[in-house]
Amino acid sequence: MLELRQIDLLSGLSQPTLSQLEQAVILRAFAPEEIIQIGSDPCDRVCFIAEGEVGIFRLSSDGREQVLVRLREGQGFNTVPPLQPDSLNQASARTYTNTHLYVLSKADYLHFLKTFPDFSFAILQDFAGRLSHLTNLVENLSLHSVRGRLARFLLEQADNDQLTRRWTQDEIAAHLGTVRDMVGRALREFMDAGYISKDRNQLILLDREGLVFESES
Amino acid sequence: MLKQWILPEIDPNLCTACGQCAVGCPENALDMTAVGPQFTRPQNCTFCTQCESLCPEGAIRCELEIVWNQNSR
Repeated sequence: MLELRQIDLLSGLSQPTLSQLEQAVILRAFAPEEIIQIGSDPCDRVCFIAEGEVGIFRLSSDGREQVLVRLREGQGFNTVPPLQPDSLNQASARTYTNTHLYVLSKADYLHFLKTFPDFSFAILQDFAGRLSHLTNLVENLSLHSVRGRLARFLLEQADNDQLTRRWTQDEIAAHLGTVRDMVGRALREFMDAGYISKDRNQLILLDREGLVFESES
Repeated sequence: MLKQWILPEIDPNLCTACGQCAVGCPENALDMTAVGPQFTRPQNCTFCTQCESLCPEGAIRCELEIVWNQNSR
């Protein structure tokens, strides 16, 4: 389990700020598949993942899940809502595994932002990263087909050693904003085209050029 | 060898023992037993993910690992 100073967002903080923060946070344990928060509920805390994985998602009116991002240990969430006038959770959050979170109350978060400049700067840097991620997500959803999004997703997953590599087809569908059948169909089409193959529980990427071409569709 | 025996995971807390996975398995790898569905013929399982799609309770997980072919990367 990560110590507070090992959280990505907080790793550059000065020792005095970290010491104050260590006294303010509470460590909470969550079981796998446990709902941490519901979107649109009042946001009363900021969370940093000490251990485990958390999915941040929204539900469409017909109940379809759109995973905005899948966070792993060292990352945090809910840094934005406490700064908004209505202070509502922007999305729901659920654990994928046994998870431990460092929880900072909204009141303490606002106090740290006003009092510790290094904390404020770290949060601003985090906002810049989130803005970039959401811009890419919007582009992906609005400009690319399911085949294109899937090809991009497969390349992203296989190229990045830091990302979690094991996904169910339902999770892939939720991540891409589509349904399982569409993912299954696109995977079969990629197999027929020779871009990928399947060996039991492994999806093996074979043709980078082909997948890059598909990712532009 | 170990990879040959990776099987779909069944969550006993979610499983209602409806039997749809055992009936629908195209390779006949699953049987319904007194304690619910079991992979009685694990060597038959091709990880086709049909059981996962059939399960009405979301109790079966077929996790796929996305990797590069060593010669393609």
